[in-house]
Amino acid sequence: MATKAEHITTLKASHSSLHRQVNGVRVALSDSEYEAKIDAWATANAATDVRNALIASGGESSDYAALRTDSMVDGSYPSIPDQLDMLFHDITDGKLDETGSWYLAIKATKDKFTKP
Amino acid sequence: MGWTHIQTQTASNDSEIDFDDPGFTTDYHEYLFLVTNYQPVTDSKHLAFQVDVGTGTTYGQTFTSSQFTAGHGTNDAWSLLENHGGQSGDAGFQQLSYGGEALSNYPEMGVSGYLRFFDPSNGVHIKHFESVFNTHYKSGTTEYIIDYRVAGYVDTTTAITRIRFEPKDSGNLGVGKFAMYGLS
Repeated sequence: MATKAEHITTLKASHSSLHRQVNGVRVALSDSEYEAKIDAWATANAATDVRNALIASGGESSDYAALRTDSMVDGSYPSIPDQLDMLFHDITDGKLDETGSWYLAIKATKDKFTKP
Repeated sequence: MGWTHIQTQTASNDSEIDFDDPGFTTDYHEYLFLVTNYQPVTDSKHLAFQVDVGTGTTYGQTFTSSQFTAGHGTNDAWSLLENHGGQSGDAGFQQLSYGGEALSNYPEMGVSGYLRFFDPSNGVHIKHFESVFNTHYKSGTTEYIIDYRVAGYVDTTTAITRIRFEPKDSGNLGVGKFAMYGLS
């Protein structure tokens, strides 16, 4: 996971200049615009690193509720149809307790993305 | 009278694409932006836009919007229909599409869709917009289609004058056509 300063170094190495297209004409960003853009990108990339690490490994986050419910996130709650299927099997198996598949699936998500 | 083509710009590793001359004027009541086969340079960077009310400000208008996503995987083992909340009085860039993983490995894939603006030059009402963008990408051996829909408004009664597209948060616009049309 890179720091913002490390991202700035990497971005400047890979983008010696930046261009904007305005009404079909490609113009180079001024020095101040370039520095501001690189700084904004580095800030965003560092934040993305933090979020990706959280998604990969889990942990405490003020964004825990969104992470738990975003189905594009690995480890989020199962879909509603899948949860209903789990409940059906848990009822069939007499496991409407802490050993049931639904309880364990929900607990796994809550344990991965925890409330601060 | 039908839609009138105003201008088309083709992305080529640009940090942003601006439509400001002509931008939004009272010549047209509605505006349509058709984006075709767009790819960001960096994978997973969502397409986004902002608007402005003059020529000397910094594309910082506030958006309130709703958003929902539908998705399908070609393995038929994954599908999605989900409300993602949108933005609430947020002055950041409004996301228009799902970015898509590993797009850079598959030039035949990418993002296409439209953004429609309703009477952006009026000086009385807030400015409604709606968009539909779909992303085709591949992750592992499965291909996915993500349908990303936004409806909302720019919270200003001042006439909007211009629009900027860029990847959400960071990176360059790689390829793709951005065409602007007007309806009288």
